[in-house]
Amino acid sequence: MKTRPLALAAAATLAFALSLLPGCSKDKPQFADAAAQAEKKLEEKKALGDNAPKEVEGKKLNAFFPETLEGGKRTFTTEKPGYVEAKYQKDGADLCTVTIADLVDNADSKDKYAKSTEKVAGYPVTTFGKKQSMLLVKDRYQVKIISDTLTHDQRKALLEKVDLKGVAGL
Amino acid sequence: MTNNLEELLSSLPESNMTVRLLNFLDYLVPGEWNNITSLHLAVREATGETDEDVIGAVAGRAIELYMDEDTGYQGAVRLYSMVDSASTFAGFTSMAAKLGEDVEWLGFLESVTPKLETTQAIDAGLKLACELGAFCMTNGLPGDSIGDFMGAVASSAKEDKMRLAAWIACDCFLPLGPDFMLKIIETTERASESDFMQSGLFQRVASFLPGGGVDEKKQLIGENVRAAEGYVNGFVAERGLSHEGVLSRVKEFIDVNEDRLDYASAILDMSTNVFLHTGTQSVARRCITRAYGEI
Repeated sequence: MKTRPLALAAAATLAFALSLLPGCSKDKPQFADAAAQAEKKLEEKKALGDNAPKEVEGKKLNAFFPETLEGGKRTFTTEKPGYVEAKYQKDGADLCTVTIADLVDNADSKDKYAKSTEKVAGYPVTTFGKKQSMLLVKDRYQVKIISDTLTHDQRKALLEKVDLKGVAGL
Repeated sequence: MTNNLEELLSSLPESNMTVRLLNFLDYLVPGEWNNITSLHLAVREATGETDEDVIGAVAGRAIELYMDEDTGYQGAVRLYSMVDSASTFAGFTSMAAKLGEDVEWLGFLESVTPKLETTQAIDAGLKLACELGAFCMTNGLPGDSIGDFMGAVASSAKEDKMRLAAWIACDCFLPLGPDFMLKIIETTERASESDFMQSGLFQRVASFLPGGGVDEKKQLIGENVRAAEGYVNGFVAERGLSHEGVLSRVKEFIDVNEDRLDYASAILDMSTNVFLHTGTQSVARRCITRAYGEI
């Protein structure tokens, strides 16, 4: 090994230099408009300073998630300002994900309720994509069930198991 | 570093030394990791949705979440980038120490480089502490108890498992041997302030760690490592990761003698960006999953 280290070091240095090169031949950006819009929105928020809408503290949302759902055990996976997410698993398999989001600063997400024709516990219900059913409490807090396996009706039944009264009391 | 999530993912290499290493270690966590370098594909993969309107809406919200510095996602990617830049420095230090042993004219390096195993153990512990730090920046502190928090860490997603497996293989098994957790815990407890100060990684990430002085930060690293001990040992046992298995696999990847495995570790440390690469993919997945959850 007496002479190998230098060769190895040289090879490794070259490899490291190569590893820093950015990837080539990538497609053009597909979401450039979304990025421009996000930038604009962020500037508007910054301009508001202290007057920008404040999302509810994440920890305050934890209590509204049932400990179990259809025999599935709860694992909290995210807790950020205005957003908490928990996964429910039964026998090692994912049953569903439940999220509660404060939409005080996310008006776009509320638009979809304009077409809502269903209600659960008096709150408007809608769907998004293939796997989601959600409702809107007090025109601000969105409670959502995401599942690969459950139907819309089954997801609606689970929405009722979330402490919606608690959410309404925020 | 860009604040545009789409550009960030696209900047990840499709093929380089890091990607080759990860593909080589993929057998440790089969089916968990794909080298996704496009936002469109990442949204499809993370949500399982195929409708372009849905994918576009989720991608748009994910871009928004990442761009807002207050959400912590950019901070997590910065922390991952520091782990790798710093490990490069530590790798050079270790290499210099080894060169010092073998080549007379480089003998002086021995007097200025730390003991190899101490540096490696400190750096391995630091990387784990940074992983938990980045997790908190990305996911917050989920739940109301330590049990809830460790449950969240254990349920973390695909790239996280790949990164943990690569850390166990390259930063733990190779330089520290099968009892690596014990060595990391003992070393971080026993190491002096100057041992920590000699770690390039520590110098880079110290400002990210809570606590005023080196002693407080050292204590925090020790607490983090001890808190994660059960999880890491469980991961090794559950997936049947073995010291011998990893060594023979790594020897296929990098031609090095059995008695100089510390060289292999140093070379991999110097030539790959495992934390930044998979960490960026982890943060992107979190932005996407949250966007899908709140849109």
